Amino acid sequence: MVLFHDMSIRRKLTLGMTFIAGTALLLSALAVLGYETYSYRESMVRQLVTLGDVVGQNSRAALAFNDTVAAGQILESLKSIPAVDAACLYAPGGQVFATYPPGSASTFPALQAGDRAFFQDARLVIFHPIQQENGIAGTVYLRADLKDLKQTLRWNLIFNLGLFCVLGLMVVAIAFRVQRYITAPLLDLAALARRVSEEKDYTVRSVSRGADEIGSLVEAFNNMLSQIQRRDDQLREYHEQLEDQVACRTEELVLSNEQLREAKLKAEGMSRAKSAFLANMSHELRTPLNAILLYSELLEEDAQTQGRESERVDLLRIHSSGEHLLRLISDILDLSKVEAGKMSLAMEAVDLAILVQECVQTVQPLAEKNGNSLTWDCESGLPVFQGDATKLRQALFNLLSNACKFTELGSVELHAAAFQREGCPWIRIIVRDTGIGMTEAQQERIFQEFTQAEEHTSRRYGGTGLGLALSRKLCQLMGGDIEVASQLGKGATFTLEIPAPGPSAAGSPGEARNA
Amino acid sequence: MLLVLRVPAVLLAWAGLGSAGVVVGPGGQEPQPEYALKARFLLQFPEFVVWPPEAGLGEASRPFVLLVLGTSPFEHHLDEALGSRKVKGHPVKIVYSNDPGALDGCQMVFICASEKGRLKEITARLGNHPVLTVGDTEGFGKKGVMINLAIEDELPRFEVNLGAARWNNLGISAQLLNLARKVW
Repeated sequence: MVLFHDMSIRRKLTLGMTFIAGTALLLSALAVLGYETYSYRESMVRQLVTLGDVVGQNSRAALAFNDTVAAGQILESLKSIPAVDAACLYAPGGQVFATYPPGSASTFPALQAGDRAFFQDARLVIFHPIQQENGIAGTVYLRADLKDLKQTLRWNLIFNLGLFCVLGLMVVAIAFRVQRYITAPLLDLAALARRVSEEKDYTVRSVSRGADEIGSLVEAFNNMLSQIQRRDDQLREYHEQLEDQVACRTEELVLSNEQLREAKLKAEGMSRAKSAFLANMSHELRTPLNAILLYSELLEEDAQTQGRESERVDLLRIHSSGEHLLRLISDILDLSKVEAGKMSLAMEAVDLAILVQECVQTVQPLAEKNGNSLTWDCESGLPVFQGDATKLRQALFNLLSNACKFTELGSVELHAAAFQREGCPWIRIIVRDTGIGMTEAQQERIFQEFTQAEEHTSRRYGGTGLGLALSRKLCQLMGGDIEVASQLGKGATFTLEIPAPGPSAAGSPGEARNA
Repeated sequence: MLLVLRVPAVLLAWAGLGSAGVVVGPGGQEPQPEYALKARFLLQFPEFVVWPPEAGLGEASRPFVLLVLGTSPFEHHLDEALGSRKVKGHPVKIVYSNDPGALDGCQMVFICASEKGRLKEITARLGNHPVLTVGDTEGFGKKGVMINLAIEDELPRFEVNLGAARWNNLGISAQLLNLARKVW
């Protein structure tokens, strides 16, 4: 069947038509042969029965008057019919009365009652009773060989086979002619389709030869070709337009890119200049400030030794203000350093527990000043890690002092822990207070430089708003971050997370970022 | 039944010795009385004879009349042989008589040997009426009796006088003629 599927349509049609016609021919030949065989046999039976009847009627007197000689003579007349090779007459009692050929009485079968005809051992045998007025006068037995029948049937078979072959050849020839009418347009179409797909030439058209299905196929194919051609043209047009557009846009882009690059360079230059200016300014500011601090301290010591208590208090105020100013300037300097990309990390082995204790001790007076309780705890097994202790301390100090500053008669808690993130060791420090808290909008702003939660905050609580911004920048420099969670009036929780690579680690994320 | 039949046959064989005696069959079968055989064959003849329409056999209800003219030699054999047989579709009526007047209205007549002397008178009386005449006496055939029957070795031997039959408008079957010993 697969073989048939892969054949060309031409061969399929020829084969199909030949098969159908051949089957029909063969079946009809078989039917004719079968019918002829049947009718020949029937007619032979009829003939032999008629012959038996004639013989029987002629033998009536011989049987009636027991004249075997006359009966023998009658049977002898059968020799003019060569097909009959044996015959006999049975008396009504069943005895063999006369035979043909003569003197062969013992070779005949026992009488079978009734009118019978049957084929036996390639011979036709009949028993035919001779009817007369007062019953059966006797029975005729005739036996004919089937040579004639066989001969006739053999010739029939040969004739039929010959006819079958001749008609089969004619059928093949006709099928071949007919399939050409059907397949020629199809093959043309297929060739055209191949040409179209190989040469991409959509201008060719097939010629329709009629209004049949193949004709409409050809028409549809031509339609399809026209549509493809039209689309092709359209596509080409679009393509050209698009190229123009792209060229135009590219030009614009190049231009705006250029402008952007210039603007960027300009902005970067300005930013650098600003940072440099700030750094210089801080340095320049610090120099006179140091002089002020130094001399105010000297004057205060003098006032103390000379007992000028009122001067001493003023001098202390000058000193502490100077210190505050110095810290502010340091913060500004650090911030501008970070922004200018000039801040680098000084990696060393850090023991977090010790660092936390130091910070807490430093902040303790501030907490007590606002009546806050300051508690801390560190999880056991905090690692000693590679990190910048100074900057971490700065950030932590900032968080703690903020918490103390914005909380009154409450509590400030610190919690430090180590954890794993993506297979690397990290540390987390949580600072929780019960202070004034802030709204979500405020939470977004507090990490920006020079910003506090509210404008009036700075008036009430003091500070520059640099602390959190700097702390966050430092943490980010170390590869971590600071996040806040708070509700207005319900305190705030700051979470500081940084990677804590072991002492053996090749480097830290902060270093990688800095490089 | 067979025993009952055999006993009289054997008795007859002893009783009736002579020319009209018992004939012994060639097959060594039980010998049959001559007139039993003759009665049987006598009744076969009408089968091979064709009567003309004026013989009165048109109506199926009318009997076929067989006249035994003269002193009957058949005893009971003729009636026994007849049984319920029919001839040409008619029931058969057997009439025994020595009166030639009985010839009127019969279709077949068996002329017994006793009528040898009156044969001329009988044939004259029949004229050309379609009546089949049968006899079993030597010379009857030649004298105008249509069928003259004899038995040899239990087999029938008969002569046919075709001229007489034609005179009386009777057709004799060629099969019968074929079997006849002599055709006058």
